[in-house]
Amino acid sequence: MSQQQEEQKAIPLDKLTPQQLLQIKKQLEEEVQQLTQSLSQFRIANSKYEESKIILKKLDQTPKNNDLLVPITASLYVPGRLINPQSVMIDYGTGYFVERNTEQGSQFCDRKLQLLKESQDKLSNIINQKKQFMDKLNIELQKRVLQVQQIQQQQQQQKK
Amino acid sequence: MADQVQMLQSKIEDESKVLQTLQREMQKYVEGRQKLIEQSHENEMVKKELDLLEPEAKVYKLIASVLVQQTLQESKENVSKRLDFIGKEFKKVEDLIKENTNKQIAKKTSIQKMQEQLYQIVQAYQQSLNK
Repeated sequence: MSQQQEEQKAIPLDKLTPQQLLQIKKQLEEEVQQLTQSLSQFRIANSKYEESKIILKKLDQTPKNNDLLVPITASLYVPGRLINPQSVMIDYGTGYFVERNTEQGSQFCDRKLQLLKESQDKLSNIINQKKQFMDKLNIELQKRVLQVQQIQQQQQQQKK
Repeated sequence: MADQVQMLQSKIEDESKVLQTLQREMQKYVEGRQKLIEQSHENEMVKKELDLLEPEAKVYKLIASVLVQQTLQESKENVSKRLDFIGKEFKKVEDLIKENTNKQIAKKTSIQKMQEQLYQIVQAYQQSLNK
């Protein structure tokens, strides 16, 4: 919801029936849940890129002609030798791969991490906005409950 | 009166079925639109990264489990073409969505009118019975 829409709904908030308020609240809760899930996916992507950076640093320190095991399938490894520890193949997306050295690979990871951070911040903002709106809704709902209780008390007093 | 009522009811049923088809169509359009947005985003990112590369950089394209070397120029052109294509498809889907929305509104209005007609006929009949 844009801020404008939120303000438009905030003004006639008293005029909405409790059922409508509950409906909006339910909708918002679902949205916040989905958005929070997306946020955790961001964190996973973050940790993957950080891990890649660490591996690149280790590669730098690995000597040439180092023995290693190359996975052919998930359970079959073949002995091999590290010919060029400086050269890495980077998956850019949409089927394109680029051969770069470890320094450029690390910079690539940094750029991606920057993009992730920006998106994460935007997402956090949206989640906070929705949570604030939910708080307003809850306050309004509590008001209604109090109103109903007051009316019931008045009716009881009148009967005496 | 009975055949009028029956006729209206069957018309309402037919129009409702058409409305349901329209709604299912709309869902497909919205899904397709979402996919296009994702593809456009991915291709934009690749384009930005390719722009950062020096001309001698070795670029490979994954063609069915094989990495085939491409020139930077070729790759950039390819990604640009893809972005253009996605843009065109996006516009097509948006037009289809607009058209579908208008059709749905028209159907809903006609169904509502027929329901009102039905209500009035039944009301008039009940009044005539009460006299």
